[in-house]
Amino acid sequence: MVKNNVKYLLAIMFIVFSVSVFINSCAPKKPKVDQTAIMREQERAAEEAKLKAEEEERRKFDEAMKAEQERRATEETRLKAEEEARLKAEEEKRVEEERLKEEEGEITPQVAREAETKAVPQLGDIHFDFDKSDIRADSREILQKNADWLQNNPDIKIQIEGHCDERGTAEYNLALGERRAMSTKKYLISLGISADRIYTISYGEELPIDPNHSEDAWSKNRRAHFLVITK
Amino acid sequence: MDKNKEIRSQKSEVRIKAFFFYLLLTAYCLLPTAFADTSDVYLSITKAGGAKIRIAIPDFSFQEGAIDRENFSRKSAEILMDDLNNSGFFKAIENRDILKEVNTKDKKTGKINFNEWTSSGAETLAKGHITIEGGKINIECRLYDLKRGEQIIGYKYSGDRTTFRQMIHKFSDEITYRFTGEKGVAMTMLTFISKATGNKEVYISDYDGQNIRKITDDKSISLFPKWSPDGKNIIYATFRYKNPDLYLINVADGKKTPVSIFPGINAPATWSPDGNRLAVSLSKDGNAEIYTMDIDGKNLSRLTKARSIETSPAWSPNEMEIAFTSDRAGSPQIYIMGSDGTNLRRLTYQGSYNDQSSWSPDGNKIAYTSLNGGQFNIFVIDLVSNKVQQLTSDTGDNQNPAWSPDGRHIAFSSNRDGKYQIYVMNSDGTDQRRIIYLEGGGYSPSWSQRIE
Repeated sequence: MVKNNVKYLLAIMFIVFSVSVFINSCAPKKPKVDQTAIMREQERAAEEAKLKAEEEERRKFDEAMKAEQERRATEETRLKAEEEARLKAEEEKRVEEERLKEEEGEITPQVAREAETKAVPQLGDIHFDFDKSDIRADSREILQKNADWLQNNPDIKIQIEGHCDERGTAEYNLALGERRAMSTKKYLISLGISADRIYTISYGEELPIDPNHSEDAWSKNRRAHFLVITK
Repeated sequence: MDKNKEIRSQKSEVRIKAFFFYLLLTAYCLLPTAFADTSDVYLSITKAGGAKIRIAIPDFSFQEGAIDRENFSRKSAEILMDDLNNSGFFKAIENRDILKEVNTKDKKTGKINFNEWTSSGAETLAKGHITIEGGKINIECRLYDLKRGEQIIGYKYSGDRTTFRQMIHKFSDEITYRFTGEKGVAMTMLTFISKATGNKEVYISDYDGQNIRKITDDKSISLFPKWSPDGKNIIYATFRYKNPDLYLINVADGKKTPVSIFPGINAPATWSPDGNRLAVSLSKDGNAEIYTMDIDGKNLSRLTKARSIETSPAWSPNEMEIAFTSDRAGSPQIYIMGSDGTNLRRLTYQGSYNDQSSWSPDGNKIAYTSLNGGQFNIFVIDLVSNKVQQLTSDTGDNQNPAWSPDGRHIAFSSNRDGKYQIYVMNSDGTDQRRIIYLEGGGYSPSWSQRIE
C-alpha cells in the first residue's frame, strides 16, 4: 500500500514536474508571441495612422481647393459686378455729358470744303478782346441784325471765319480762332438760326485785315467774319 | 521619378554654370576690342564752351592741270571751317596768309611740315584733295595730329555736284566724332515755313541754312512742319482744302498723304520718338483737345477733356509723357501728362502766356516761348529743379524753339531784324546768329535727326 502510495506520489510529482516544466516551457514563449502581436499591432496602427493622415491631408487639400474655387468664384462675381458698375457709370457719364453738352450748347464744327463764298454788306463782322472768345456787348446788336437777315433769307447758308491778332502764337491762335467762330455760331443758334446753315473755319492769325503792329490794327484783326456760301 | 528630377536639376545646374563660364569668357574676349574702340576717340571733350581745339584748314588742293571753275577748293575749306566752328568744339585758324604759305611749302616739299603748321597756332590740321572724274567729284580728306606728326583719319568721298556740301559735312562730323566721341550735327536738316512765293509754304535746308528748297506747292497757308524721327517725312498743316488739315509729305518724292482731316483744326502735331504715333490738337468734338493717332490717322485716342484750349503737344524723348499748352487756368500755360493722358500736372507758373514746348533730346528740359511785356522770348525750364532760364531778351520777338538732335543748339524764329527769320543759338543762349535770310521770312523751324 505504502509502495503504491509512493508510486502515486512519484506519479503526482512527475505530473507536477512535467506540468511545471510544461508551464515553464510555455511561460517564456508567451511574451514572444505577445511581442510579435504588439509589433504587428503597432505596424498596423502606424499604417492606419499614415492612411488616416493621408486621408486627412487629402481632405484638407480638397477643402482648400474648394475654398479656392469658392474664392475665385466670388472674385469673378465681384470683378464682373465691378465691370458692370464701371460700364454703367461710363454709360451714365456719357449720357450726362451728352446732356451737359446739349445744355451748354456744345456743338461740333461743320466744314464747307467745296464751297465758294462771298462777303455781303448785310452781314457785319464782330470783334473780340485779346485772348477772349466770348461775345462782347457791342457785338450783340450786330449779331441780332445778322440773324434777322438770315431769318429773312432762309435758303442762305453762311461761313463764319474766326481770326486773331498777331500777338499770340500761331499754334494757340489757331485754336482761339476756332473758339471765336464756334462761340459766334452758338450765339446765332441761340437767336434761332439752324446749326446746319452755319459753317465755320479758323484762320488763326494768318489773315490779318490790317497788317500794322498797333492796338488799332490788332483790335480790327480779332474778329469773326461772315461770308455767304454761293455754291 | 524624384530621382529623375534631381538628376535633371543637377544637369541644368551644370548647364547654368557652363553658361556663366562662357559668358565671362566672351566678356573677357570682348574687353580688348571695347577698349580699342574707345581709344579710337582721340580726345574727350564733354562740354561746349570749354577750351576749343584750334584747327588749320587750308584750301583743298585741286586736280593737277584742271581748272577749278566753281572754286571748289576754296568752298570746301570754308564749309569745313563753318561746320567745325558751328560745332562749338573747334576754332579754325583765320589767318589765310599763313595757311596759304605753309600749304604752298607742303606742296613744294611734298610732305607735311608739322612744325610750321604748329607755329601757325594750330593743334590739328585738316586737308583735302579734289579730283573731277566724268562729272563726279572725288574728295580725299585727311586729319593730322600736329604734335605727334601723324595722320589720325583719312576718308574718300565721291558724288555729284549736288552732294558736294554733304561730303564736307560728313567729314566734319567724322572730325567731331574723333575729338568728342559724338557725331556732330552737320548732317542734319531744318524744315521751316516761308512766304517767299507770297503763300506760306514748307521749305527744307541743310542745318547751316544752305541748300534751301521749297517742298510744298499748296498755294494756300502751310503751318507747323515737323520732321519725322527717321528724316524721311514731314508732317504739316495746310489750308489747301479749306480747313486746317494735317498732311504727311515724303521729302524724297514730294508725295502728300492726308493724315487727319476732321472738321475743325487738325494741328499742330508732333511725332512720337519712335515715329509710329502722332499727338495732335483736334477740335472735331467742339473745342481743341489733345489726341494721339497712328501716322495714317487710325487708332485715335483722346487724352484731354476740358472746355479750354489744349494745343501744341510735344512728346518726351522717352515716349512716356506729352507736354502741351492749355488755358484751363485762365491763360495759356504748359502742362505735362502721361502719353495715355494720366498724371496731369502744370509745369509753368512764370509768365502769363506760355506755348510752343520743345523737349530737349536728353529729356531733362523743355524750351518754350513766353509772351511778356508784349514780346515773345525763349525760355528753358529744367524738369528736375523747375528752374527757369531766359535765353533771348531785348531782341524783338523770338519764337518756336527747336532743339538740335545733339541738344547743343536751338533753332528759332526772330523778327529782331524786321521780318521773322530763322536763327540758331547755343542751348545756353549764347552765340545767337541768323542762318537764313529770305524776303518771305522764316517761321516755325523744326530740326531733323542725322540724315545720312
